[in-house]
Amino acid sequence: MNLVIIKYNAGNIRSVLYALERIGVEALVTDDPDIIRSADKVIFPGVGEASTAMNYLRDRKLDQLIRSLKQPVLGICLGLQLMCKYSEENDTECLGIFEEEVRKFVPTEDHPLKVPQIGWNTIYDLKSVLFQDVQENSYCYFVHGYYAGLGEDTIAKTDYVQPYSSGLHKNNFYGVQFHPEKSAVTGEFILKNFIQL
Amino acid sequence: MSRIQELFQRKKQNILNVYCTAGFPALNSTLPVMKALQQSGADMIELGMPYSDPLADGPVIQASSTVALANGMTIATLFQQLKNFRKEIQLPILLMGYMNPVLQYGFEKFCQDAAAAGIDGLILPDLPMFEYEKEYGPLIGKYQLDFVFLVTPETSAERIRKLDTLSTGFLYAVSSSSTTGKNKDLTEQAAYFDRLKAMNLNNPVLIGFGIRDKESFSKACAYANGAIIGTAYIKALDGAGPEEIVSRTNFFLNTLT
Repeated sequence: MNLVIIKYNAGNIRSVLYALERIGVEALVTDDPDIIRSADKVIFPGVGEASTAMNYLRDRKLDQLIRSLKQPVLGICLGLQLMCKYSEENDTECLGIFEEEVRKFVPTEDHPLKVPQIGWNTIYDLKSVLFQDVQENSYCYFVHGYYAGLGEDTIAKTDYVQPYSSGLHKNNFYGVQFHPEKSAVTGEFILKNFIQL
Repeated sequence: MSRIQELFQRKKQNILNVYCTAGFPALNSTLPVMKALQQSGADMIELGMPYSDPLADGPVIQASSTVALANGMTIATLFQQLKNFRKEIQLPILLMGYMNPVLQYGFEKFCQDAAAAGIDGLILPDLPMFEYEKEYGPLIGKYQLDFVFLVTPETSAERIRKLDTLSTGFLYAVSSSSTTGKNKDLTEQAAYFDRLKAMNLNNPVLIGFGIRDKESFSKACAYANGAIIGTAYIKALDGAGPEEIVSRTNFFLNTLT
């Protein structure tokens, strides 16, 4: 199994590597298009800001590369958001793999919640092999101020101010808004399921 | 010698350090909970200062912090509550929390007020080693507070040595690289605990994360000087009225031995 983590200017790579190590998988961190293209699985991580990340990907033509990938790809956090069509974060056109759009959390009178959401929240309406052995309403660890809306690619939902997509799937592309690498046993299941796709 | 160091001089085995969240279950539960822990046989208390963003806590402690914050708990309120606690509580007490609210309060003022209240030590998991050495360690030392660093199975031997030199009081061995409240079978970590033991560290070692009952507590105690229990106790306290704090604490601590 040849697993590659895409290297770019938005990263949370060390903890992803440790989480993979815990389930016995070694990964290569690279931005080399040939190595990425020939990988069995690709992880697209990210903690950062949408427009700078997209500019960086475009400058290196990594945007086209990611769109053209045929093997299973897992976007994590900003990775998921960049795989959407558009992000409200600095009015950014994203990769357009998922139809959903990314909006900023706006707390309401009924839900006076802090933004960003940092901490544990539950995932439900799980609809993918990615969540095999994961129970409905399992806790996952989130750190984000923007969210992808619900749509036809939604495979997991979470409530924060309103329901949103905490998991997306289309063809060979998967995305999770939470950090599986920080989500204890549930996260381990999800990473294992992705590895076994 | 600090109260923490004195404890480890006196007792080398089976040290029970219990975590509780200040202001949980009710705003004024802080002292009753600490008193109940003392009466029920805890050796040390790790008093959590609630923060909105749990960085090293699981869902249970996150929820207790949310309740405590909604109850109105702040660092200033906590120091108010702790004003005369040393008249009644003799156990070593560590404050545990995150840098953000401590920095907002003012780091030196925080150390000064903690020391004045009779607090013995600090656990600030998101205070990195470099910043500790450069900036914050000297202030902590100035007020004669102990400082406890965390080590994980992924910490290199070299870094463990360094953290051991910097820590006073004890070293907090996280049983796995995760968050609190994870039901881990400690046998998985045996090699790591053996490795720690073989290093002959200067500080006593307490094991935390995943310690929840008699079995896991005694397993942890076989490898270290004792263990820290948090999530399981917070669960036991959840929803307790003022009159139930003593009985629930007593019951829970009795299940551990």
